[in-house]
Amino acid sequence: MIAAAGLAPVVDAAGSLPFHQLHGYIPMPQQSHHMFGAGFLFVGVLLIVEALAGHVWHRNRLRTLIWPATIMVLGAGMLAVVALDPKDKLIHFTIGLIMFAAGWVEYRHRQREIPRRTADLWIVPALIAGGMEIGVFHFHGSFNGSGSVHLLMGLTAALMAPVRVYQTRLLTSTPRHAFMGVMVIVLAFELLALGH
Amino acid sequence: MSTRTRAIAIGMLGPLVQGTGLVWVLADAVLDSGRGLSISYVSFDPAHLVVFVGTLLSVVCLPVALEVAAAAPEDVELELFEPDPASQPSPALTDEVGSAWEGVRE
Repeated sequence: MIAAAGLAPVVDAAGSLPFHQLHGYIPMPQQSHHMFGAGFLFVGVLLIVEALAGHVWHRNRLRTLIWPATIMVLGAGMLAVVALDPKDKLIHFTIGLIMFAAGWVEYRHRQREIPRRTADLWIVPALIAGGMEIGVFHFHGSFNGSGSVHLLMGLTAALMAPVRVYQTRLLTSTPRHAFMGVMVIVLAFELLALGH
Repeated sequence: MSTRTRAIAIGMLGPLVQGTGLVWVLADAVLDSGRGLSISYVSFDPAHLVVFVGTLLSVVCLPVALEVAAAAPEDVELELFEPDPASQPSPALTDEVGSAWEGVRE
């Protein structure tokens, strides 16, 4: 909480940039959610393809790194949302930061620089924290359409943590690997359904 | 699962997503036929985005499906990204340093 409060000046500074001059070119919050949903749908399906293709998928280095790179790009996109969306700046900022860092840790794991369990030490708590932020703090206590979807998204993100641990317990299991892809696709459709 | 089945599954994922998007576009058109079609609407509408992602996936997955179809069964086993043991500090070296240090103390 203290760390989050310390980030407030950075968040405010990002929010006070002259982005209003770009009005008309910047997607609305609902449209941003849909774009993030499309991004998650793309990588979610690719995770399933990765599970089915095995070594063949990793013959190309670009394919190996597309999953962590997309998570990092989506995290950076979330940081951009902080500057564009006047609401919930701190929540968007911390989720963006968590996503970017989780993508970086996964990138280092895929580069064989750190073992899977070391990567999980960051990724599993990050998924739980992300789920808590989306489902609890972003929920605003209202069970309207947007509130319920945020609650579901938070639950899905938090459930990815045990799925990740389950996957780590048997890394050679194709169904366990594909299960994570299915979870990402569920999250994608929740984002796409927001405000629809 | 055989490599052929895996290749078919990989090849079908993109069109499956595309099909889901098309059904969504059609359902939208039937339920809300009064909505105009603009570039902004098509760019951010979830149904159109799903069709776009499906098209992109079809392009990305097709060469992978062909590679998998031609691969041996051991080539489709999952890759483990554990660090190379050679790049890790050697325990033997640590022991040598430790024993040398003990020798100095003695």
